[in-house]
Amino acid sequence: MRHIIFASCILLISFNYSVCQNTVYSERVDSISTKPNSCINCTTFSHFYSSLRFSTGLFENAVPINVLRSGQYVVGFRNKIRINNFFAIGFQAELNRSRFGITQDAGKIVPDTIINDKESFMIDHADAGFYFRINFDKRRGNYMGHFLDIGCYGGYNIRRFHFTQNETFDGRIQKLWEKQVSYINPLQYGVFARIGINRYGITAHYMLSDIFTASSAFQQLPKFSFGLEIGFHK
Amino acid sequence: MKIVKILFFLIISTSQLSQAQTHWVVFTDKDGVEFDPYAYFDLKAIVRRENIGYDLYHITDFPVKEDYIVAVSNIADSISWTSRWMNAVSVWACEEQLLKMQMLPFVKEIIPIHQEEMQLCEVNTSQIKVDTSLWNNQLQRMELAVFQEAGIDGKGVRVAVFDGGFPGVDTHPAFQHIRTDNRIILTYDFVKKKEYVYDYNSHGTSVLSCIGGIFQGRPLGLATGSEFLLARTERNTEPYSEEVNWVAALEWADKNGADIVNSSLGYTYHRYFPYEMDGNTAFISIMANTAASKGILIVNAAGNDGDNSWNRIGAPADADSIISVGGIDPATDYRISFSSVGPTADLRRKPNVSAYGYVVVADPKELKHAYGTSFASPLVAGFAACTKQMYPEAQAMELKSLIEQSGHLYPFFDYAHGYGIPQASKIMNPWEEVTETTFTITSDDIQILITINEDQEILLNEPDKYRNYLFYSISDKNDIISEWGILKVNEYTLPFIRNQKYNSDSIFHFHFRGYTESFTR
Repeated sequence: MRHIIFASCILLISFNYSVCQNTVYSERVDSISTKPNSCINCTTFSHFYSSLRFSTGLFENAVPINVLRSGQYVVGFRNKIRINNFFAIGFQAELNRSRFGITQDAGKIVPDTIINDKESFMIDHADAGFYFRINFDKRRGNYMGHFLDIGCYGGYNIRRFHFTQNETFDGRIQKLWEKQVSYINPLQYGVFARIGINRYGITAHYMLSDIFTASSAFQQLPKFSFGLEIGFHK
Repeated sequence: MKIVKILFFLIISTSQLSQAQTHWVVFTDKDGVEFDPYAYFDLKAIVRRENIGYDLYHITDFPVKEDYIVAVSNIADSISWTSRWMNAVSVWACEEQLLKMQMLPFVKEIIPIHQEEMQLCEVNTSQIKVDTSLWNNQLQRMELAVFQEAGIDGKGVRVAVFDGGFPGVDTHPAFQHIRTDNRIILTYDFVKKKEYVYDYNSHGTSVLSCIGGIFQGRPLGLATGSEFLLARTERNTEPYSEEVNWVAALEWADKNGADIVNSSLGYTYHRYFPYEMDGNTAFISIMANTAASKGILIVNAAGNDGDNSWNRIGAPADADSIISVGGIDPATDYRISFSSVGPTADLRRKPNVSAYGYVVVADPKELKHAYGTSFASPLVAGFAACTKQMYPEAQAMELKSLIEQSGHLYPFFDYAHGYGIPQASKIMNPWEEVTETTFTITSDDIQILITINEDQEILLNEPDKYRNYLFYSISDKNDIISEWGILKVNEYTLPFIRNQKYNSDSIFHFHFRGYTESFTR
């Protein structure tokens, strides 16, 4: 009985509260008096980012690729350690899905001379990188500003596919995935540069390693890529 | 090889790091410099100084020593302004030149000048059909009629306006009365270094209209009888400003007898961190306090960062001796969402007061609606001019105090509304105390109970709905507020329940219809 009375009291109070305490506006204040450990231009800052990168194969002695069917989608996490308002260092880790659409013409030799309706190499790799940052906004406050990053990266090619698509004689579409192909190196590494304004950046990557193993004797896929990046921060 | 070339090109682009930057070069002394205040100052500036007992021969008003300026100019790329207050000259110089200057025996220090974005505190504007009730309310909320009845319109008070340009002020009918009476005393473009200011950003035109404009016989601001000094301190084509323009304009306004300065702009994250908003870090905040010591009341917009991650007031709104103005939403009569909130980083009370943050203003074509604490600030600047007219002997800090006490919430305070919207009736009778209680507070173990007096009618109709607001704040024994808000009164008995536990030191402040009471458990 006592429980019922108690519950009834609580209900009554709640009802009273809901009827009478109609909060139209409320706010709490957090202390801003001390310098936080982590903010955009504090000692450390971390954020996620995403990037779209493109390879053209232009100016490179590389396997001709279909630019429209090639590209890299990247999501990553970046940490920045501020040295001063000028310089910073940091590391980043990212997941990269790369696709190289192979041009299908008479001169095609990689990985074979067979002409398919569609053909591509798809590589999923996980990278870790280190970079050095130069900031151009010497006296900036709490924002990223204009910067140039120069860095290096290395990673493991987790999934290495060769894909072909052809239409069969009876009109069906036949898709063929050849998984973990042996002629693609499991590791890759390279250098990169990035210029940025606040959350937006333009990146340039150059792969120092070869995608195809030396034993395959294949002409290499394009090593240079450029991209657009957005950082998920203010 | 190509990638090496690209990287090399990118590295070369960093060469701008060694380019000339702007700096204040501060000198050690003004030895041997002569100064005649009667030749330098406008008569109003002399009267202002005499009123507050400020030394006419104060060292900060002496000119910078010419020999020092010449010596520095021989090293620097160029010189833009000199500052008597700082005993400094602003220079463009590279690191190497700065090192040479630092070696000069009369150079005390070299301070970087900030060139990051100084934001005009305007959110957006719309050129729609003007809402006449809004136009009416933006002034009636401050009790325009009371001032009008007493014949108070800011007459004889000199107001300086710092902004990005004033196109149309020389032609627009909203300023005809000011032009006819030759009440634009002086103008100066500190960006282009010329007198003509009637071009570039129309933000200043709108701001000026909120201080003293009249359109088709109806006022847009309270101080329609004031005199004006118009200074263009902000660039238009590129949204960057130099603090040096603002400081130079402040000294110019002081020299030319300004009583009040309206500045609807501020620095936030582009230059500073939130924890630096303590009134003593930002250069222009320090200068704003210096102006106050010379008897000038600065009215500054709190800022429009209330709805983003910055959230807090910027600089110079963080300065101790100025009035920082928050924005009120006319539709709800409480804080408009973008209005920046206090406190300062050192936990001082800011903003000081509030006014409408959505208003009718003049633009070079006709009238428009505009959002921003940019426009709340000049509404209060107009109010300050009227207050100054009523109390011509009042010093800047006394004026500030009077305006705070005229807030419709005073003595209640919170970090969004300050002391509320200034009320002309409270300026007319500033020492009249509110004695009529509108509610009582009781408490038990569970809740605090607010009981509205039975003689208070609970109004549910739209025009008066804001009169049903019960403002509350919760502070500690040091008067630092941790939480504040508004409850809508629907019943005569109102439980005040918080999810958060408060200790016995917590002080609960409540305000309802002009009456404020504090309560401790």
